[in-house]
Amino acid sequence: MVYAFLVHTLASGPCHVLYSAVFANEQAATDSTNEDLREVGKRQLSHVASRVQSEYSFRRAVGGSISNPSDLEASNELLSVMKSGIFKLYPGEPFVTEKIVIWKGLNNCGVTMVCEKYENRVTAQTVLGNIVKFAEQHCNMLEKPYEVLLKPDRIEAVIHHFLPCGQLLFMNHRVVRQFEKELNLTINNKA
Amino acid sequence: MAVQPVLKTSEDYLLVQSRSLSDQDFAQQVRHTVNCIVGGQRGTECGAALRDLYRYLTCKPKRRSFSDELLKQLKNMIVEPGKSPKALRLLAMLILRDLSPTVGYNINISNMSADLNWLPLVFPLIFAQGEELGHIAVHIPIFIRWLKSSPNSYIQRNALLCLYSIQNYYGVHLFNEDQVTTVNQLMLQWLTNASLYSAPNPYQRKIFASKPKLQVITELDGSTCHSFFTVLNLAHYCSPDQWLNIYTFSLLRQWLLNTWHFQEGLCEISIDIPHDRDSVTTSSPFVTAHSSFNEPTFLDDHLLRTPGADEMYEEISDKHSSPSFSEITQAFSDQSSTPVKDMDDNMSVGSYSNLSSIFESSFFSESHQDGSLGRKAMAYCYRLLRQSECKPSTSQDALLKKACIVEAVSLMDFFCLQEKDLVPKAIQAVRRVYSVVKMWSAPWTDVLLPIVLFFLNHGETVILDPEPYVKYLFGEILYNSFTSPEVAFEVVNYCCEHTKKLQQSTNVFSKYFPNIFKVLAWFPRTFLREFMELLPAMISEKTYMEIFHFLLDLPCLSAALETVKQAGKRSAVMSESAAIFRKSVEAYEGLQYKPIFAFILRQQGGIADTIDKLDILHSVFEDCIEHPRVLVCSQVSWLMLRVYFKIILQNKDIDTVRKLFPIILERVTCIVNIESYKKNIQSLLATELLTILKLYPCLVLEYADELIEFVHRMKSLDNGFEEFFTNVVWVIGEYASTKYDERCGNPHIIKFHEAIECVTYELTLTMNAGNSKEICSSRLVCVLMSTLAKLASRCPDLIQKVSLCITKVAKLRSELCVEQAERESLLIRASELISLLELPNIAPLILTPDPSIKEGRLHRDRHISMSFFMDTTKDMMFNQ
Repeated sequence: MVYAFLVHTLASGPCHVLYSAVFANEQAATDSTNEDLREVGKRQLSHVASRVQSEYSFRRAVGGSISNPSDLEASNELLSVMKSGIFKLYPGEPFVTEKIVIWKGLNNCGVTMVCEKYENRVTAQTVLGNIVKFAEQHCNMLEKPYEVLLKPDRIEAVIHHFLPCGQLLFMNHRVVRQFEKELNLTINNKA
Repeated sequence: MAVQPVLKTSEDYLLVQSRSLSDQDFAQQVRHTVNCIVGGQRGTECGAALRDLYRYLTCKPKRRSFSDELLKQLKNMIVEPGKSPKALRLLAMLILRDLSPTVGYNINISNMSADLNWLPLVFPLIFAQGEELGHIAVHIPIFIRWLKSSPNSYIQRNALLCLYSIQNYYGVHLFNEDQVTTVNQLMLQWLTNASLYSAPNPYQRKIFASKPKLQVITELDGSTCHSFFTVLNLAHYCSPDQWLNIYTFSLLRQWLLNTWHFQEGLCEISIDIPHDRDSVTTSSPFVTAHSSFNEPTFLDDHLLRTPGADEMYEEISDKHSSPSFSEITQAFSDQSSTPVKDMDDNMSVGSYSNLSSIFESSFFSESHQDGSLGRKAMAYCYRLLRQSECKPSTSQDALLKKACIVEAVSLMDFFCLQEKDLVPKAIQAVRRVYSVVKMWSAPWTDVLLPIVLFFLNHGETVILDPEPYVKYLFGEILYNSFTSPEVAFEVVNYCCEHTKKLQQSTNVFSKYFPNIFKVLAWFPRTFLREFMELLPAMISEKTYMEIFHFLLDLPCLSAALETVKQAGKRSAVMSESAAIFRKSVEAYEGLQYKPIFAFILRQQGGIADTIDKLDILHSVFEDCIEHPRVLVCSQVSWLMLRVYFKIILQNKDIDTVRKLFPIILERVTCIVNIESYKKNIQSLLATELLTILKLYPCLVLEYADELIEFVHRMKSLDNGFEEFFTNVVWVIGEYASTKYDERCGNPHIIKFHEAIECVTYELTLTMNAGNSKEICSSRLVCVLMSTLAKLASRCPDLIQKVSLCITKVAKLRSELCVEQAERESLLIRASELISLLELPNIAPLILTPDPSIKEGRLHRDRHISMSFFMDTTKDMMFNQ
């Protein structure tokens, strides 16, 4: 299961979460302090985003140049120029249980998935790839991350179809195609 | 006053603008949105209002205040009947989700009037609200009811996901036994009974009421499917039962793992749980092969017969007969190229009935009548492995195939751990997959990991040595693909998760640590903590020396890997300018340094601890030392060494430390030329020297020659090593004494004295003659003087020489002091030491106190003379 999904900035300076979806509320059961749990949740997500930002900046520093995404046409190529990474979050740092973070990033836009420890990570990588592809198609977020703030419903629609209730599904290309059709209907206001 | 943030990007601007929206303006926005919704607008204006509202809310970490009316309207809007666009409903849900957890709204499906088709849109809100506010326990029976009897497959799918989320995040304990049994039964049906025909195109308008022509589902390579439907089958459009099959398999592994646990605690009390099997089988619209669930044996042809999703499917599927599971497993045995001896059919039947016997005595009591979910899952896995031999036509399918192998092997591993009898058959299938994927041209490390784990876990049962697989994985494969972040993570995570297993059954850690460390050298930031955890497993009697050298030279490894990458780039681009590190790259490509690169890039340990040409090794990478990867690696390597010493000293093994000690003296001056790294390592080793000798003072005498040699070498070294040198001198003064080691006689003391006196004079003389750079600190001079005095106190013959030396040195050094205080303290120390040495009876008491002084006994024990003396003095002074 995916615990959370977020889109955030990557440029140096403070890291901003532009979109987030959390699929469960772990802390509600364990946290007994009077702190607002919404704030706790937001803090946890921005902690994850900052860690990805720092991973990305290291990878960019050692990885040399990055080509311009606008030169790329096919989405598959897009995925291959994106930096990607994966790391573990130990229990309590910041989530209650251990989580695995899978991310992809380009320019100023990071797309991050916080998965459960046991998750099939080949599936997770594939699904994240699909989400990036369709989110980019409908939001152009890699070049203009602010679009995510302006059109949150589009990202939500992508997540709604490709990550229902945070569940990673085994999807062959026909299944992806059907989800894509439904997604297009939703975004074009026909559903 | 708040500092105005610098707005570099459009995102920054938008965020700041949204955050700084005043409460008044926000209230206005809320009113506007409510009006839009109430007014029945479901167009662009309403969308824009909702988008803005969401942005104002989500960008601000603190809650904004909002009206209850808005929440009510939003909630109603998500599920309202009618044709309002899904995008708008999603937006409304997004806003409510961002507010969660909150008492502001309440989602309780049981008392919601809603259009059932839109209801799944509020499910995310239940989970965002959490266990209590989301009424999770109340919702379970509702979801189960939909799961069982909803005619709408979309609702069924979502109910399944919700039930899975609940047991995953809020615990299986929220379910009662009947509920788990019901879910199991349904999953079992969906897993095996999906139709073999694609659904008609749902987007096509039906003009004529004719029966559409049905397409048969295919395998990944386009060939017709001759067995039951799995996630690896292509249906042009999925029928409802195929969707359920996909969803069920996607969450099957974790569901089984979690409920299995639950089952163990219950197996004694719940042998015979009544369940309403009839209601399940009759109410579900997709179940037509009722008879199959009454078959007692698993290997029954009818069991995997494919019924249709509805009448239409049923009609067709009756004509179609699928091969049985026995045929599938048989296919594995027949075509298997593996040397493991074939099991006969009786054996395989026996093994499955054994598994069923586990199930029968368990919580999953439906297995009294029919096949259990576990056994069906096993059959599904066999089929997936078989299907994975097809050649996929798209990259999406290739990835899916990989994922399915991982999933199937992991599931089979789990079942085999529960039931050993399943192993022989399963291991054949897994070996077959191994031999197939080995032929792939694409990288497949992620697939290899669960396979190797399977061999590690179960190889013993069939006398299969996992060693060659382990060797292949941690040798060649890792060597070629550690630069991939995914492979790096998987391998490191694998090592962390299965440390014990790997330690017990393999020599991975002691043999392949140089290869595993390449991951750290390449991604020093990402995996530091994991490697700190793994280090104890790698350190053994055989490896600890090599690992010490290895960690010290870790930045060199990082530089070497970077050089290899640059060389690869250069040869790819065929231009000189492409390489950044020309010198290193040329060295790599030349013959002269081949052995050096071969050494630093070695895959296996245990050949040699280090090489004698370390200075050449360090000089090769001079142009890489500014590279960010190397710099970060040098920081990490220092941290790793700290952990290393902690582990070594924890073991309390003097022999280990005894062998390490001379290496420390040797390596402290032989570090790759990164200024900050040298400084840190020197400082770390200086501290560790003190800790080591505090534990084992006898080492001073055992390594007297090495210490003396080091003291002599100091003359030619630069200031960077002063801290370590100071500590060396101090430990000689402190521990070269009969009180710590009885063997320490006058000849030893005289030898130490000679060396220290010599270096003291030389340091002072070069200071006065040379430039200001070479001045050693007055602290070092003080330590040198004290050490000389300590040695003299143990050997009275030296007193005169030492007094003379102290007088001279203090005078010369004090002339160079800039600060008055420094100068004074130096001179005072010198005169104190000389005065002490003038009283040869008292000097040893002060300069070489008994080691027990540190225990505080002198102050507390009333039976020894010192405390008696102190007490009497106190009485005399204060009572008068």
